[in-house]
Amino acid sequence: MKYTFYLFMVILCSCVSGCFTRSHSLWEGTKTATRYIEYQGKKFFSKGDSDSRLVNDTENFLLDRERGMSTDGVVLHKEILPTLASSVASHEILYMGSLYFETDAHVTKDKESHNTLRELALDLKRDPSLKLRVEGHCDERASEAYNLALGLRRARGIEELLIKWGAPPSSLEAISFGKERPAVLGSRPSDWEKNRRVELKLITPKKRG
Amino acid sequence: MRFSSLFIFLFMVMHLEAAFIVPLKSQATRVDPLYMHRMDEKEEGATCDAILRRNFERSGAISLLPVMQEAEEMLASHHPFMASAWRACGARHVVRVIKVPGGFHSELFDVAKGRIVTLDTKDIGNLLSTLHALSDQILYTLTGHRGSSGTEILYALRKKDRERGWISELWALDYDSGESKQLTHDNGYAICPIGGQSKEDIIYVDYREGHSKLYVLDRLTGRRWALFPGLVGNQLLPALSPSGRQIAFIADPQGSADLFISSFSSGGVGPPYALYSAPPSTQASPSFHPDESRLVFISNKAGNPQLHTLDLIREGGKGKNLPVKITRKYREAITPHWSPDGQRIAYSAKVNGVRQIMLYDLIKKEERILTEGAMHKENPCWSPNGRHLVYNTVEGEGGNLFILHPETKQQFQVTFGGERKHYPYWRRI
Repeated sequence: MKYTFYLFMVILCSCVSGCFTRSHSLWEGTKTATRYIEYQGKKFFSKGDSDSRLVNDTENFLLDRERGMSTDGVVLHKEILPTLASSVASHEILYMGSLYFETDAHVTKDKESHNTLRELALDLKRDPSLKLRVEGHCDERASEAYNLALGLRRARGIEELLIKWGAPPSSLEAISFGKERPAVLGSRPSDWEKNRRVELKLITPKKRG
Repeated sequence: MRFSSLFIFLFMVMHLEAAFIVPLKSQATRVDPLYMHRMDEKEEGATCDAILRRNFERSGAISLLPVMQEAEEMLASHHPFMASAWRACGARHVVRVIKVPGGFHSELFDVAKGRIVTLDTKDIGNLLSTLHALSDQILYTLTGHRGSSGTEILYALRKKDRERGWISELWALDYDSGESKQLTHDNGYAICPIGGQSKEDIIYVDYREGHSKLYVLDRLTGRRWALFPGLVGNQLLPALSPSGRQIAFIADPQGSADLFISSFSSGGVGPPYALYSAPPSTQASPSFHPDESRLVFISNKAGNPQLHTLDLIREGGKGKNLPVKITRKYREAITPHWSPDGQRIAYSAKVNGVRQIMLYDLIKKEERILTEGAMHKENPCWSPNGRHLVYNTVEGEGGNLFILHPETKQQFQVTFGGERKHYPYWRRI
């Protein structure tokens, strides 16, 4: 009888732990004990990226260079910001870089990335004529319409950080393209990784005349 | 040992519940069998015959009987409409269409009632449009249901431009002629078109100023204007109420994707206000009940996006209504669209990892799967008569529009090509 009680408690705890979330945690999949156990099982046996998982705010975005990926544009880095700022007069939009996210993640705790964004926020604060467009993009797994709304969360997350670190809200523009403009086409987890991103574009004031 | 077995059993039961998805049986609807006389092959008769047959087959309102030799002989005889003989052939209705100068003459025979009705349809210039009007007229006389002639499907077409990258323009597919016409030529990014207050107006989402904003396009004059220029942030996924007096959409002036609503009249829009917000959850895809007393929309408040309904009328004019989650069975229930009869909601949900078109029956509270196959299907939208759905597929870079009859599950493709055609919206013109 005693063992039955302990066994019952173990099962109950497993179920309850599956339903446990914090205010900043979100499920991409169904919030059930079954899915939790399934995800933990897949994670334990290293079955790769599952399309349903619990995400919390400790999962951070990574910059291009940290992923070892080549970029067509300029990698976001604090050393090159002054150069960018001084050369923007001849351009309307400058591609600056992409930040990549884990599935469903929209927040970051990564120290180095925070420092870089802090520098960028300071640059925006110093030069009010600079504008930064923060474009949220998603991978192809959720639907088109829903991704439009979801992408806002990603873009707004970065925008909030920049504002927190001094960027004037008027110099920022957070928009979402959902999965409308994929960086790469394909349905492999590596393709999804490249599409779950925030693109940062530095915009100069429009030329007159 | 016994306890271990119990644990394994419980674990398996939980997994079985999640792993097995049993589709509900489709509702059988009775449709009357119709026999259509084979038209004379002279003067485009064969073409007319083929188009009319296709229209009847696709209508979902009747079941078309195959051409029978004895039936054709009977129609050629002196007594073409003998109820007993047609009953023996299994027909409930008989239709004979004859091409006459300036149009078509039709005879409709109701076998059960022994009644003959004649119709005269004028040629309106375009053969396809005339035949659509004719088949709709026949179906309306026989079944009392309006057809889909005189309608168009608005959609967005996305393609990759070598210089500009991804661009998206608005298009309209004329249901009668089957021809598509490009409405915008901005080389920008325009999506989510819906019908506006007048037949010429189209409300849509445009990224021309950076943020996504709602615009109105007057297709006659080409004039366009922002609907809520003073509302900061992004505006997405608009839905106009059937009377055109309210507009619901998603906006993020406070940082999260919230549900907004505003009054709408010919004089302009009223001030928008947040109808539902629950940070950090995301709201999307509102759609009005035909009597405008309720909205259905998507919220991931409970984790997984599901359909929620929200009463727009407050009891006693006080308090705040809260949304009610109505779907539970399938993951990622998204893009709902309320049927014109108010009894069903079409939406898309993941079934075994593939997004399929679904139907929620508000009377039976049932979730039904309407489509199958490996291709993702999204954005279902009802036809104005509520008999069909249009949806788009998502296949790599491309995707096309399909029309589906929810009861028979019969479907056919209406757009072709490698670009992505999406966000369809079906309206009467």
